[in-house]
Amino acid sequence: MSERAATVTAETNGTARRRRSFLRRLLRDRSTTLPLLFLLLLVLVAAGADLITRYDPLDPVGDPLLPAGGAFLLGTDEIGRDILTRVIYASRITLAVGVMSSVGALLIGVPLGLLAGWFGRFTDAVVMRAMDSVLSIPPLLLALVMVSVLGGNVFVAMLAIVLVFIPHFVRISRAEVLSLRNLEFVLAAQAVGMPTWRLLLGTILRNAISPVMVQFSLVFSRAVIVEAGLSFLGLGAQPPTPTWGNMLNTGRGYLYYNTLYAIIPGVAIFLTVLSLNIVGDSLRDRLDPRDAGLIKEDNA
Amino acid sequence: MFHFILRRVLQMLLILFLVSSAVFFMFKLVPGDVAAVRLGIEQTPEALAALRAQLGLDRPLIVQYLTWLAGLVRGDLGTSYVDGAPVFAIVASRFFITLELVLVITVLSTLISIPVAVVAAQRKGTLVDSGIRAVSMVGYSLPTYWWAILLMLLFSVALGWLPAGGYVYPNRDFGRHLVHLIMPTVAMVMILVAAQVRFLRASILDIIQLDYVRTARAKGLSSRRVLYKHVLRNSLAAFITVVGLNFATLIGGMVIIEQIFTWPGLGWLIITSILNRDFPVVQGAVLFVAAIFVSVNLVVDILYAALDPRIRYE
Repeated sequence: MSERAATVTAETNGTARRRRSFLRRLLRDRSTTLPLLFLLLLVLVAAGADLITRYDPLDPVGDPLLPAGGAFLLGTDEIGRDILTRVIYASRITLAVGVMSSVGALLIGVPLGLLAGWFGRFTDAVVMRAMDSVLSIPPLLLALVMVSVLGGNVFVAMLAIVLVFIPHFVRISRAEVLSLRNLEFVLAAQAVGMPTWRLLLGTILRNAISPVMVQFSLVFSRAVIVEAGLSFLGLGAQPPTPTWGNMLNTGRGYLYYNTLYAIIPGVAIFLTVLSLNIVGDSLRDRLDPRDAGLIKEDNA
Repeated sequence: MFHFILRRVLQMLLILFLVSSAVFFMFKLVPGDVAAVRLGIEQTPEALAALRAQLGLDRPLIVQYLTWLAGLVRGDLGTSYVDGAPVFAIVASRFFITLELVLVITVLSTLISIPVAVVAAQRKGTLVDSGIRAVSMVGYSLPTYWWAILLMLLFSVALGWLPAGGYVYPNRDFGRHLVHLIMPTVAMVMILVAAQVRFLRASILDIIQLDYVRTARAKGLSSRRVLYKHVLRNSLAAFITVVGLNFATLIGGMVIIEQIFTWPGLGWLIITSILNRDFPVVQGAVLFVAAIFVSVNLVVDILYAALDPRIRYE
């Protein structure tokens, strides 16, 4: 028994070591330096919005539609609010909805995927057909329908985004269970009598964490796009709350007065999504055993 | 193969049943009385009761559900709250307007992505490859709505070359119809090409590493012949699946592009129906989109299984 237990421990210790070295590699990757810095800056800006700008995002502080420059770096909007202040405060909604909906989808999707993959048969069929049904409707359309039924606000938008992205986590975690369940260290853990829940949430999940992390970064970037899309269509956070999506939509009506009004919120969405995608790509590259140097290619 | 197709068709029917049930019960969550909304300020208790009876709303929920399902089987998606027209006719007419746009986008993006991905894979690690990868990453991260606005800003506001939006029926003025098609097409093609190039490049590079490719090289075949005859042919099987799925997703995924460019297709219909709270139309359009998606998925699955027999045994 002790030998089998040692096998399990050695396997999990090995995984932890690999994860640490993988994080070091990610931080050393020069292509992710700028995106990671941008994301860090975004978090700092969102957290310290009150310290960065002296204006209120909801109250008019000048004449309507003032051009960029002077006291208002990006100008003012149609009722005289500072556009830069609103862009800064809007980052809070984007980050909050992005993180919370991706975490929500992960917390529901991963256990469902683990159960479907482990128990197979009926459980698998029920879970996977339900996921296929969700996937048969394009993400933004599904979110739109939910919001139209339950009402347009941030909470409903978040719920809709959670539902849209659950299948992405179910698929990835189910695939991991299927590839791991017959490996020796899992069979050994079963043989020493480890309870199923501990086996799934401990041993298997610990080994499946890398693809789930990659998926999380990609879902996060898609969640930002869907949230901004819903706000753009007037079905996310409602005015006067600023979001990049609703600012973009209002700004396009004033293209002739202040082009930056429609451009800057879009730049913010684009840079956030681009940074998340680059980090996600780098994560995926780092986790590929061939790239990580864990497998020597015989044809190299 | 017959059993494979049968199993996939049964799965497809099950998914459609699940989606239609979810859509039915989801719209029952809408707060307020549908009959009261339709009657508006002219409602009297008698008129309300009569309309509720006419719409079947006075019957138990399960009866309403079964009646609705029976209607679906006959292709009856109900009638619009706004003008009383049959939902199926409304959705079908808008579908063809979206279909034209999606077909043009799919064909153009496929024709562009294949050579670009091949060049990137052939020159892996060079400046050309890095450039293509960087541009695809940018394209892949572009939010459609912002990219569309930038195009509009450049080609309509600044240069005045193209109309900012609108639709002209092809039988009225085919030339102007094509001109209006340009901007929504360009807006989507850039984003789709980016995603497809990323996929096909990765797929080609995966296959290049396989043993049979090494054997083909060892036989003395030229790199060009190995690439086109042995690598690309196999990469394209998976690529066709991606193109098919993108096509199916676009049918219901054009909501924002159609709204920005006032293109009166399915997406435009859905968003205006949501804003008008015309739920039978939203319900019908969503089901229609799901039916198209699972049907295209089925065709793609069968095509893929025909190309790669291993799929059938999984």
